[in-house]
Amino acid sequence: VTLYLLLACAPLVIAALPPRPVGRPFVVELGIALGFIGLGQIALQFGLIARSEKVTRPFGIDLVMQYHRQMGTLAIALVIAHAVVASAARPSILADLVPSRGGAGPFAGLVSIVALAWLRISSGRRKQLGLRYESWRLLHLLLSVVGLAAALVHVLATGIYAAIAWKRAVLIAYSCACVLPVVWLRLVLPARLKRRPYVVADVRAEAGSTWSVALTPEGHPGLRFAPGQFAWLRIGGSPWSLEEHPFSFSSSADRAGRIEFAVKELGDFTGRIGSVRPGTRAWVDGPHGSFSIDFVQDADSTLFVAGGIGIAPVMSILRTLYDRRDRRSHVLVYGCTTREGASFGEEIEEMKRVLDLQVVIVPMRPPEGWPGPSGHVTRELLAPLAFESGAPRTAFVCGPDGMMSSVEESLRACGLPPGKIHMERFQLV
Amino acid sequence: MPMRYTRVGRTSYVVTAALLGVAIAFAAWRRPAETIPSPPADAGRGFEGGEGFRISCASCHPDPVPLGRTWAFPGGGRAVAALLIAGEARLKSEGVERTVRRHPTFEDLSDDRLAAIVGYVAGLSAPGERPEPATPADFAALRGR
Repeated sequence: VTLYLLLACAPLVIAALPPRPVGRPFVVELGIALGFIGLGQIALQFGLIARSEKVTRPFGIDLVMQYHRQMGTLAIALVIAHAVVASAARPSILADLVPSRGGAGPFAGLVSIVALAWLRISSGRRKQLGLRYESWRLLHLLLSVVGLAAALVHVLATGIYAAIAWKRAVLIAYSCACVLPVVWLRLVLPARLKRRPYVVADVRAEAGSTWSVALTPEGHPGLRFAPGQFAWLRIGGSPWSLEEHPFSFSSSADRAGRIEFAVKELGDFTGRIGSVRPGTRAWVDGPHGSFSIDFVQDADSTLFVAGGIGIAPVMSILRTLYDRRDRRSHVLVYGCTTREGASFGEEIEEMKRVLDLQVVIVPMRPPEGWPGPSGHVTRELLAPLAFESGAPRTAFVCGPDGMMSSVEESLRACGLPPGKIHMERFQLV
Repeated sequence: MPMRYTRVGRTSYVVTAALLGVAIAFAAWRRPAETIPSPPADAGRGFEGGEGFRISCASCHPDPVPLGRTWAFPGGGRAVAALLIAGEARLKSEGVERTVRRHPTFEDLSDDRLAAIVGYVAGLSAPGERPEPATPADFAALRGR
């Protein structure tokens, strides 16, 4: 947070260095400060979304994305506040928004505000606006670049604070440096992925409208991942395509080469996954995420709570533990729509022969005469399972957003310390 | 909001408060207005034609360069600001006529300060108000000979 604050304030610090104009009113200077901080905030958002492991590993990519959403909103609010305060202090500048009168500077500021406002609206109302995920990603990228570039032009062309050559050079360098991570993500990384292609080896149907997609590396040894992590997957097309989706590895992390993902039919892309033919090229950007039993030091006993396709990372963990002949005590609570729709049911039962694994299936619509729990995963259900001989189990929770919130609250209410609850949300947009 | 996000929310509030605090500190730390300096005696003689020759305002204020020009005076360097304090004008500079807008230096000055500057400039005697020396005798008289 301290580093983020320092970087966010960097443009204002540059502006504050001498020479500095004299005798300007407080309100005008406040408006200027909001603008410079807004510029820094916009620029830093590019770094937050660049999937850097150093940024995402300590917190989890979902928290970083949530922080990006909040800081992005703050950036837009600061830029709008800058415009409002500046206009209130000097109403005459509104007339300068006409390019023929005010030149490029004020107009660029207006372009930046419009681009950033539309970016925020299209992100918050994507589904209401009928934007496909891929279209939204492209729009988001374009609007953010336009918003930053226009803001920089505005600062350089309008502000007396950027009238000095070295300050202009530093501000340009700062903005370019902040954009570099996205240039790396969108241009350099795909070029590297192109040299490490995968081929679809197998696409097989599982229960519950779920498909297991197996990939094998082509001409390279493949990647190593920790069980529970995920990757951004492109199937077919180009590695530079924006049509990529995050999927959890579902295969064992201890088996080199072939990797598998579990994909549930939920949207445009996943709805077509069953028709992908073996031999199709694929590119895998990963591994990402901090949701893994391998990253937890004190997981003496575990409680896995999976809902729907949230079983995918849990399967990766269980399969890895199976390969390792793990002897710790594990409990799996698996919420599913119907008993028949529970994916990997037979394999999980088979694992019980090797692992100390208790499985609790919780169907939302149980069959006639179902002997076990059904409906939602409740606090009452979790309370007796959350502890092993009085010690709190380490909980790993993955599933739909609503279920994860509910389970998190229930586990806290059961007395599980926050540090014992691990989760990563995949509703990144 | 999910409980997991509450920590992010708290962090965001802290960051927002810190950034706003920095912005307010920046604005409060502004440099105070300086007293408009009176022109040095030697420069004033030149402005007012005291030596009997005409001098253009643009000699010292050539065009609205960002931070003005600094001229060497016996008492040290003196920076001058661009003259255009409001609106825009067609000015000829270095043989090229172009439209020049008022410089940002003047954008944020209060009306009182702008009026003071204009009053100061208006208070200077324009070269044209002096009798134009037309003959060698006029120059000799002006030189006390």
